[in-house]
Amino acid sequence: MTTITYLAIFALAVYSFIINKSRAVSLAKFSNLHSQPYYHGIYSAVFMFLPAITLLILWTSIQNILTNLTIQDYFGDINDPGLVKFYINSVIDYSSGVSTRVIEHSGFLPAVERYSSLTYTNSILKIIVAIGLSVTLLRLSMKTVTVEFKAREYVERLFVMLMKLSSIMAIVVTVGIVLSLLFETLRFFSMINIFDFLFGLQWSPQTAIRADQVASSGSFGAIPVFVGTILISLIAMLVAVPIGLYSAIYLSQYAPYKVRTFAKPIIEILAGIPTVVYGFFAVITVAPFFRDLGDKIAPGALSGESAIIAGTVMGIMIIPFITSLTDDAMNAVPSSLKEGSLAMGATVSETTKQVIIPASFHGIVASFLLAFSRAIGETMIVVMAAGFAANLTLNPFESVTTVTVQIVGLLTGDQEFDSAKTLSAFALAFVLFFLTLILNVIALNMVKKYRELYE
Amino acid sequence: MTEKLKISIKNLNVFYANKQALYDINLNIMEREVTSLIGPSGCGKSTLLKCLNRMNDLIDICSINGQIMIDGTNINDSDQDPVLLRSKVGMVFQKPNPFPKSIYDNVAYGPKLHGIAQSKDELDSIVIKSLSRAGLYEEVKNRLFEPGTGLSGGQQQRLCIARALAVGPEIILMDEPCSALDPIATAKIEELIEELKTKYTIVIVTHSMQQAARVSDRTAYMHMGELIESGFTKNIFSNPQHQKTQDYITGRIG
Amino acid sequence: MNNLSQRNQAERRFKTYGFLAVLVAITFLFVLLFNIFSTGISAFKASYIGVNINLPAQSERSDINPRKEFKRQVYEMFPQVKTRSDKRNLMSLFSKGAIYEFEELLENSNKEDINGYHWFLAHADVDMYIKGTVERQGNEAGRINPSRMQYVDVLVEQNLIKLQANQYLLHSADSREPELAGIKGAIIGSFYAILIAFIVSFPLGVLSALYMEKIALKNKFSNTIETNINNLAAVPSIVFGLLGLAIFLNFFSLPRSAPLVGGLTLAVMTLPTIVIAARSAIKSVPPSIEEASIGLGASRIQTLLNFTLPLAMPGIMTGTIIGIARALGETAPLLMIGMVAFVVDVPGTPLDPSTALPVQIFLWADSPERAFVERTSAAIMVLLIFLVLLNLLAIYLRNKLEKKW
Repeated sequence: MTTITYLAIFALAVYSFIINKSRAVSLAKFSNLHSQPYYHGIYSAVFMFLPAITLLILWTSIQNILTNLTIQDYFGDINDPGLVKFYINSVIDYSSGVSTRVIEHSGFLPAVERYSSLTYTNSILKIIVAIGLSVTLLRLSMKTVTVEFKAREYVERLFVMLMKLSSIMAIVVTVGIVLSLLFETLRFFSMINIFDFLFGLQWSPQTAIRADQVASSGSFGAIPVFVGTILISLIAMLVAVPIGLYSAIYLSQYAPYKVRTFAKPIIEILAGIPTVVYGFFAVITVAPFFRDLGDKIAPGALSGESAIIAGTVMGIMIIPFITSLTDDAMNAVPSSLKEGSLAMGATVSETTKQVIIPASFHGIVASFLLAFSRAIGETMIVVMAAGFAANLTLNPFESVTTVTVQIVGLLTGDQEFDSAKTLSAFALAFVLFFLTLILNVIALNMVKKYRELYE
Repeated sequence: MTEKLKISIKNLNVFYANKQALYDINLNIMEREVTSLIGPSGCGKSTLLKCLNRMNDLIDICSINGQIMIDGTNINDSDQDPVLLRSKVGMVFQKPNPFPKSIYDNVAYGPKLHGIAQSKDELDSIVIKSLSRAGLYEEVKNRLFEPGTGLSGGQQQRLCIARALAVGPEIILMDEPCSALDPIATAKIEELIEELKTKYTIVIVTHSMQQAARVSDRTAYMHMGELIESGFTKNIFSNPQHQKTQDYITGRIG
Repeated sequence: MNNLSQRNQAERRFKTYGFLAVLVAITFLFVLLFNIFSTGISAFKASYIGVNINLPAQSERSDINPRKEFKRQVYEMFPQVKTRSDKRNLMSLFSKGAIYEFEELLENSNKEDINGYHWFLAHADVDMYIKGTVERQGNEAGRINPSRMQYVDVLVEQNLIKLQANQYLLHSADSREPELAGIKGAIIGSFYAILIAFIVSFPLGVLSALYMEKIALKNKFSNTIETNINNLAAVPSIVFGLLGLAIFLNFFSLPRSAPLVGGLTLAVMTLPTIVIAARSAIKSVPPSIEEASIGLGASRIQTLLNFTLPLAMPGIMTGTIIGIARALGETAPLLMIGMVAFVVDVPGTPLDPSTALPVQIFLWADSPERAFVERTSAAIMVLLIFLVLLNLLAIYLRNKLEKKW
């Protein structure tokens, strides 16, 4: 029903456009219009469409709320709000034919009847009013097609507003992220002490299953999780930094043009491979490799989910970040400095080590920070290759867990949305978001600072 | 003035890929003299200069044939190390390019690199001597550890000269060293060149005839990649042998 | 200069390290790709067992119970099979899907043509043995015990097992049985999600970029928006998943596991990339073109839409396609909004529960069965091919559109 109404209004808008445009065209034959017929068409279409749609949407929302409230009365004797919600949904599903399940409650069938009749009357009324409004607006809009009417200005103003709203979306998104995380995080901290979370050493998130269990039967000390994240990310950096930095140096200082144009895009491909593929690669190739290696040296000492496996693969993924960002940083150093050093009899390596790298130091450090930030936020590689049990250790051969692994583990599967267990995932996510934001801000500021050096 | 041949350029041809930039250059540069290379823009004077310390090696598409002998050895021979050459032939660039390091470290860079100083004291004395010879020491002696980039344009260029001197070269190449400086700074540098030539052989590229006339002992005029005429400066300016030289000097071309 | 030789040695070492680093990085890439392709290529073929179909001429097709009839045909191939357990062992060599294949055969062909050898899908255990993934040890191989192996040996000997193109991989949705599992559902799910992501993020992104670059005044407000967008581009993808969970699923009560929600979440994630690319493309349009247009009496908006935007389009399209390609490979946000359930139907609309290709890869990677390993690799190959195509499209569009200008 409703779909047809929307379509009808849309069709009317198109009709409005066509008819008003042609009216404007005929007017144009006799005098100079302020605005092109096209704009008159658009203006009238929007003039009719927006109010009608807004009315329709508002009406439907209010209708839903009111209807739900009405049906709720039929289940007034039930205390559990969750159960009431479930019953209301069942009534709706039954009436619309989605399900045939009848609830054993006296109020069910009367509620269904009431719902059906309410919906029926509402729909008829709604359609009549909506179509009526649309037609009225359409007639009114036809009056606006005159020579002096500045249709184009209105349309353009509308367009600018559309653009402005789009830009604000960016802020809306950020605010949305912050709020949704913050809200749940605060709820979490109302259940669990913030200091226990930030500084506690024991992470085994459980919630009381029965009311009579001790509420803190689980512990939410996140330190092992944070340490695990940092351990794996550091291992990744240990792999990526030497390879990435030396590659960047070779490609920018030594490589002949042909090698550079060939090798650089190939290294970039590493950045384009989806992380789930890396995770799979870690499981089928890297893990057995390390396991066999470990068995030769110290049988059984290396866990199948040890930090070094996930860290190495993550390092491979980060190499192109380091390579391209440090390459950019080094290229930003004016070539006159390089020439000056070489003219004094320095070798390329001496020039690179003593002039270029110190000169691009801020940019290089910024690139490390950005790469590290990417590493700690990475999810799939660690979900597939690292462990789930929190283990507080700095030994790379043991299994550890990370923030992202915990978030995934806690939020997939059964969710009791108000439990401390589920909410702890949001708290972890908030810390992660906050940390990556800070690293990003610091890195960008560093880049700005070194760019000023050469202005 | 004892005339000893320091640099001897014979039949030098330079190509950038297929384009020829220098045609059969033959030129002698005498020791402890200032020789200037003049000519209209694009005549190849900078290219010629850069051949003398093999800075053209950095350009992939550049190829050279001919001989450049310094103290009797062809610097382009395969057994010659450009690193060693550049410690003997210093260069000062058009735009001052001090390193983003302290004044002290700028000057100490070269000696440290080549292992010239055996001790910290020796290094200190080399730095002070070079800065003095460049006429900069008095102005910066109280702020040796401030960044070299904080100096004025003229001071920066003198710092670059001090930096080149610290390595102990025998030849100093200067590529339009004053073109980015104001007249007062320029005058200071020209004074400096006058002092330096007692110890060093200097080859200077300049687009200012007046500067060449003021500063150099010998002058070579170049035009479109060819060496048109060379000789004592006063002769070139008062009595040029070639029409092209005459045209340039009287301002009809360039 | 007595340290010259040391310095030259140090120079040579340094250069070698750099070269080795590049080599190592490229080697990693090739090892990874080689690994995936070598394990995945075998999944495109599957083992099929030949059965000599012999239907008695008089039987009515509607009377035939396909299940019973199929079993009968199989038992006829091995007359020595008598006991119940023997029969079970024999039938277990076939996939559960073989019966549906037989049904389809009955429906689609005339009774006269039907007789003869037809090929039916083998069970994954058999497939793994035939492909050599699982090795034979004595009379066993993997989960094929000796009593099943005897039939396998006979079939092999009589050339009644062969590898044919795997019909299921690309044409079916997921299944518990590895041999019946395919990525069609995942591909459609990904397609819907990416389509929605594009439809939502592209207009929003381009309009924002136009506004910020051409209309907005440079003040604190616009700087805030700009910083915001740059920061959003660096936020871990899982956080966007949580946003989707909290807002689209909980607040708006949209259907869980639907590509619609996945698409909206991916749209939010891709938006900053598009804005940044579009801004840079718009910035590079020479102002002279705009000045000329305004000089002729066009309004600012008309200039933007008729001149600036078309000229910036190549850059915008390239950036958008790259953003979309990234979104195609994202798994974490989709896990958070529930596109991870085991779904056996191909989604009909973007509102039906579905999974996406990278998530399917994740699920299969988690599966303990050996047969899923090769299928995971094959799915990865398909995903990588899509990504390569998208990137090639971006390069092609950039070259083609730039020629006009």
